[in-house]
Amino acid sequence: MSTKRTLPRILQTPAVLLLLVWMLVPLSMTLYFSFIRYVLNSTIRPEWTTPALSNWRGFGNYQYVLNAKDFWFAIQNSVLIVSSILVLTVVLGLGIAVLVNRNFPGRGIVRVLLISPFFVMPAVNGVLWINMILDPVLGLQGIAVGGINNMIDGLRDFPVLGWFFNLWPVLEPISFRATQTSAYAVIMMVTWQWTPFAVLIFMTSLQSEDESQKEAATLDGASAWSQFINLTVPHLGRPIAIVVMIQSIFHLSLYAEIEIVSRGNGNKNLPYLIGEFTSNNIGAASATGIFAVILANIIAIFLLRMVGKTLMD
Amino acid sequence: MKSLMNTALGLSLVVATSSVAVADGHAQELTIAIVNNGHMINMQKVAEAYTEETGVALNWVSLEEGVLREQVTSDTATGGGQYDIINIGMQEAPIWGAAGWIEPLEFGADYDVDDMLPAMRNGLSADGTLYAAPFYGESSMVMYRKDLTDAAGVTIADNDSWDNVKAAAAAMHDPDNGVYGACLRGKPGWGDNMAFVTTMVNSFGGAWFDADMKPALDSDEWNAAVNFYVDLLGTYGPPGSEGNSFNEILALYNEGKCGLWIDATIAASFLEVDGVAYAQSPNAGNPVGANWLWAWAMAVPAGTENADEAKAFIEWATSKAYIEAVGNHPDFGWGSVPTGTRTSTYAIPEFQAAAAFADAELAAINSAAPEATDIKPYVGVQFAAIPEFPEVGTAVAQEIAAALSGAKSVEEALEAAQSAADAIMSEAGYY
Repeated sequence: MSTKRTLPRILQTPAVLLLLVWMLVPLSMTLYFSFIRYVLNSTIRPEWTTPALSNWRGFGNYQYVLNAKDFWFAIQNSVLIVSSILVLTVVLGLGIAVLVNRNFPGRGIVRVLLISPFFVMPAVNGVLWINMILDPVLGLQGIAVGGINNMIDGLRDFPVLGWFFNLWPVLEPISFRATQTSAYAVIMMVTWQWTPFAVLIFMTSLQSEDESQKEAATLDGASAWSQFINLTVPHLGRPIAIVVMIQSIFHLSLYAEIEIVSRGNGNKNLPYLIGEFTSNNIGAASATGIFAVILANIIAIFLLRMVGKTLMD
Repeated sequence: MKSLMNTALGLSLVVATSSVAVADGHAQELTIAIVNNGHMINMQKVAEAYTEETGVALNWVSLEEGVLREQVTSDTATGGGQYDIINIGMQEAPIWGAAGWIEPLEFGADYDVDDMLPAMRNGLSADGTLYAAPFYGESSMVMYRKDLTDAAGVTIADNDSWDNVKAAAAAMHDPDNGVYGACLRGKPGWGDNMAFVTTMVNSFGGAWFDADMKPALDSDEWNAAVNFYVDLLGTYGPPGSEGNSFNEILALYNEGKCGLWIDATIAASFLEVDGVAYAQSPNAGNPVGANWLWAWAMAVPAGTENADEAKAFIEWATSKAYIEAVGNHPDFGWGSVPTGTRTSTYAIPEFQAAAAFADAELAAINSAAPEATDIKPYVGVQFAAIPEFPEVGTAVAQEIAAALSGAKSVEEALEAAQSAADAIMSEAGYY
């Protein structure tokens, strides 16, 4: 019995060891840096620029990070961004997947177009949206708002309808780089990018849906809506769980979009905070990194439980 | 089999070339990290002549300013030796030089170090030793549409008062026709909105730190300057100013959407609208000057194995001959020579003819004083040449952007900025 187990285990060791080294070395270095004073450059305390045990400061870095201006905001904001994106992509993805799951002329082209946003690089996505679409002066938004205002201006001079258009307000373009709106801009662009991912997963699992069940439901006079709620959504439970899990892992580490939209103004997460600390203070950056690992693990535990349940059923 | 053959061939080639390099005794290739600004991009083309002449292949790594800074900082601090030559700014050069991260530069008599503009040389030296050679330098000035000011019946003088500038912006402001009175930087970043805001604070008589290196963001000067800035840009600026920096405003200006713009002197060579006039930056009456001083310079990281070849290239790329080469290059010409580095450049008649902004730029650079004064205890005009400044500047920049967005009042923003800066400075061991 035992030999039956040892041989496979021996054969597994190289891979397991490699993975452990892969993971443990960076993690332990980060842990070490997070407990010492370590900066890239200092004119006041040059001894801090080389990582050494003599610069030990215990939990000082953690304390400094916890009291830093944007730490709690970064966590809150991270949760806001990730959960909004999850809800939006799952809802939109479900809707679109069900819509394109029937036969219609040009279905192939429509599907390819649907998937394409997913292949845009994150940084390109950010630049495209913020400059070409959302810019309040030169972007699509600015041009559209200006156009509508001009049109309404013209309609005000009409004899009969004029009074009605005089009640219309003059539209102001919204700046999506402002403190109040930058998080929503990121939610928008990431949702646009990741909805195709959800669509792709849902579309494939819709194809395995039991058609005879649906026919029976139709014969029993069930409406399309109740078919969707009672047959399709339960059938998609597992793919939804997978979409939620994979996206959570990805979106916890958003960086490019945040940088491009507002440089962290009104919109931050832990990776962005780490990036800001790494301009000099590696100790604080490492402590933030450890916090990020803890946060990711908390979320992962919840997710695995949730996904595990659906996979067990 | 075929792929195996290819691999073998490739390997033998690598071995062959590396043995050649060893046999020759010096490098055949230099890796150069540059910032993706126009002048540096042009250099890649102009430097083909250098490769032909010397046989040294040049391997360019072109990055966006912020990314370049991160890459180069971590590579240099840890002695990575990834690059033989790096582009650094005036903020880093003196600190890195003092820390021994970059090599001191000494050039031959032909180079004529004394031809370098004094402000540039001071700003790139530590304790009188030059550590980085300026590739191009800049200051800031007012660029305004003379056709609009004439139509509105206002004038903008050199070193005008801020109130006058605001009145001119108000006179030009016509949002219904897509013209905004003043376009100014608002994008958060110590080199973006803070570059401009700091020059404003300077002109109001404020500074980043007091004599004990304690942040002075809660001072009356900061309050007055930032209030004025938020009011001016909020009232007469384009929507979305909190996202605008140099490149964004350049696009707006060239679309004819801006009345006046206070920014880098280098902008003048990219402006494509007619009727632009220049004036020295507004000043509320402070001797520190109201314009910034910046240079992108080239330095040799201490970790490189090809220091001599690297220095030779820098000597060529920042020489008078290089400026001639760009001026006479079929693709470029005198309008796109790197400016702001040498006195001799401004004496070249072809350059004067091609650059209407030359005199204004030279005057602006010469009036900037990077050295420490009794108003400010640090080196640098719109920044402080200390390692912690990027962190402080970034934190403050976001608060100023929040004030500009209207998410906070100026007082709240400056209070938050002060406490963040204070935390960073005490963490760094200044007090």
